[in-house]
Amino acid sequence: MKKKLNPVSILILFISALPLFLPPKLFINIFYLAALLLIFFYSGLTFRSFLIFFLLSFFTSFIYIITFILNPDKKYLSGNIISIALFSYKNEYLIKIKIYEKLLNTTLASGIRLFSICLISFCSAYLIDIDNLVRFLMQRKVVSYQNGYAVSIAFQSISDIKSEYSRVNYLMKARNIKPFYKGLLPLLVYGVRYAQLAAISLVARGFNEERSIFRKVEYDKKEIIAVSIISIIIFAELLLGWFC
Amino acid sequence: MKENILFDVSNIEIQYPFSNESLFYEMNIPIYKNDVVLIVGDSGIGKSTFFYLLKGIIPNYIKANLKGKIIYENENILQKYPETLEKKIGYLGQNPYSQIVCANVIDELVFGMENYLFSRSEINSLSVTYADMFNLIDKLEQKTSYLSGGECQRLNLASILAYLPEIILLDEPTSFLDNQAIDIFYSNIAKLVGKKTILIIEHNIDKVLEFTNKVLYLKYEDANRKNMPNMDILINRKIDELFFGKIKRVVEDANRVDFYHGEEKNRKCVISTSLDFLYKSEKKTKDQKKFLDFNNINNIEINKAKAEVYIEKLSFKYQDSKGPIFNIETFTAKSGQIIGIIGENGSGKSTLLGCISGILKSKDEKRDSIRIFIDRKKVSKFYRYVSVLFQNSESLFFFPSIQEELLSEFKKWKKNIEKQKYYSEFLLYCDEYFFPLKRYLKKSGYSLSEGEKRRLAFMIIKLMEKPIRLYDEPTYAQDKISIDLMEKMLKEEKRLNTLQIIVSHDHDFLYRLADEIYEIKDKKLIKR
Repeated sequence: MKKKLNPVSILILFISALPLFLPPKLFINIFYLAALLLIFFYSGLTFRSFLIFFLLSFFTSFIYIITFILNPDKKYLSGNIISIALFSYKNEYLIKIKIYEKLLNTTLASGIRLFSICLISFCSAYLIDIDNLVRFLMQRKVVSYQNGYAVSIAFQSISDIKSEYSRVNYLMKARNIKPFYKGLLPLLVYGVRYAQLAAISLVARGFNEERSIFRKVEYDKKEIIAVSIISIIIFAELLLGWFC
Repeated sequence: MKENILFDVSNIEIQYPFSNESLFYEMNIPIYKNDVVLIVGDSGIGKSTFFYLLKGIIPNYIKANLKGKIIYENENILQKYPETLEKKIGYLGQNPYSQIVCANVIDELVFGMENYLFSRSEINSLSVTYADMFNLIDKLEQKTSYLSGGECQRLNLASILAYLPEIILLDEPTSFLDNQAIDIFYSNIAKLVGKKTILIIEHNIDKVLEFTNKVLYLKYEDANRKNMPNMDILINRKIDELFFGKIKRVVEDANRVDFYHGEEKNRKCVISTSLDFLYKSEKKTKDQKKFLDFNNINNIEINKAKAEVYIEKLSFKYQDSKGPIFNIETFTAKSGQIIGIIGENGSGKSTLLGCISGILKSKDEKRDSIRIFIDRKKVSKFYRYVSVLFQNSESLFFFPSIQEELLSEFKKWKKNIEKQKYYSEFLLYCDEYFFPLKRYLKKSGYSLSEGEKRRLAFMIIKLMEKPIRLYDEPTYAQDKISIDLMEKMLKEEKRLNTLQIIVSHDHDFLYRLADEIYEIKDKKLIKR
């Protein structure tokens, strides 16, 4: 996956999406979400990944809506009642639901908000290059090199531990070793040894807080444009009284 | 001459916390500036530990009680390790994967130079020089997680040499490299002779001896000269300065001896009694010595299952990589064969083993591109018939002690006396010549040296008794004697009708052993 945007910009986009967590205004919400998604696609989000994230977010919000409707708070149980009928067969409806209008509106609005939050979170997590982000923060002294490299190595170890897990899992089956938790020992040892050897490797090459920088993580024009667009949207939101 | 002494090493003793065993190095060796010292000895004897002491990893980062002296600039570095020395020493460890700390190849290459405050222009020119030297130019923008073992090792070497340390410690620097890369590496090291102090641990010593001026031979105090690995080569070469270091393992408390024998009464594990034979047979009979001469095992039914592996139109692509790592048209292997697979670093040898075992599955892979038949029946659960010795031997260890590790396999023949007898003899043989079982039985497999882990894993693979066995670099970190024994055991398996596929950079080993050799070249599998 070729990332066109700097991961830091994507983090800023994610943070700027925080208004979505606030009380809903549906029209602006949808507009804002669409603008963010466009930028995400531009940043290297594939349609396949988007589809997976969309379905995951949809499923999460669907479960939320159903749970909310089945266990409503008493304050929503007043006012108009709406009848919903689904699936007709020979002039008979198979599913008939009666629901308070206030409950339905609140549930749907919250569901959409949850959907937006999930979708943006998934997309952001997918697009952020942790190593680049940590490097950016270390170079600007936001994070110390010691902590930064620890985080970076920890993230790198995920893929290694994943492949070690598949090897351990295979050999467990091959050696007919049961129960499953016995497989945790080699994984645990692998993790500890990974950390120990990485620390030795850092020390062995003279790791310290004072170091020169060869590859500086910088912004480019495209990123500035993307962040500017989002800033304009947030400004427009302010004018429309979003935060009031 | 004395002022040129860099390190003066004399009689070191190490004891790790919570261990009743201490390691005693009885040796006196002066290391002068610009010396090139080759360190040889049995695998597991403590060569890497010696490097840890020189680099200050012990006791600064791994705690241990130390006695003895390593004098550097009139100071004993075992008492207080000088910061100035830490910066002067470049250290390359054994395991190439775990030394990578950056996500991108270029960042990893320049990591040391950044630490030592090289200027941007210096880093630029040195990184190009060393990337070119180790054939990494086209991989600079790549993620390090996609590198093979050999590529990782090349990157580690480049990264260490690039920041120009005054003293270089190399612990088996070529174990994962292909022949061409080994030649390039040692020709570059030879250029540093007279300019840097270099200490090398290497089992394959032929190429190192060309520019070595000193050899430190570590041996157990009771070692027989005839059985010492590489001794014949050293005698033939008539090395001028050959130092011996006697290694003693001292056990403090006799009641806490790691021996299995004598503690059985306190244990409730019923199966464990089956390893008693290790202690009962004190003298070897002639038959046991002939174990690998195939005289006493004709009636044992082992691997009578006929195994066949077919590969047809197999291509494998890692996620995010540009194209497939290889495209294999056809490949066939049958029981009783030993197949060797060679190829350059990163050509996809380990990936191929992963595919055959069923661990790796590419999305682009054609369905059924790998088929395994056992007694002419197609099988789907490969793990039932295929065992794999991975590059990381530790994947095979699941128990806190070696005894339990072996027993988990040994208990399979609880009711089969013939097989019990056969595998008892196998373990006795291993204990005598291949792996000191009696000494290590209560120890954890994880606490062994790299070479010992590999040999233990090799034994477990044998005990698993699968009809198809895959080995990824079995000779890694092994001395010459262990390699010879491995060779014998693999030949024995061939006779027992096992199908064995071996990936190795040790071409001599494969040419002596394999029935067929394939090379992965230009993404194709070509029969040699």
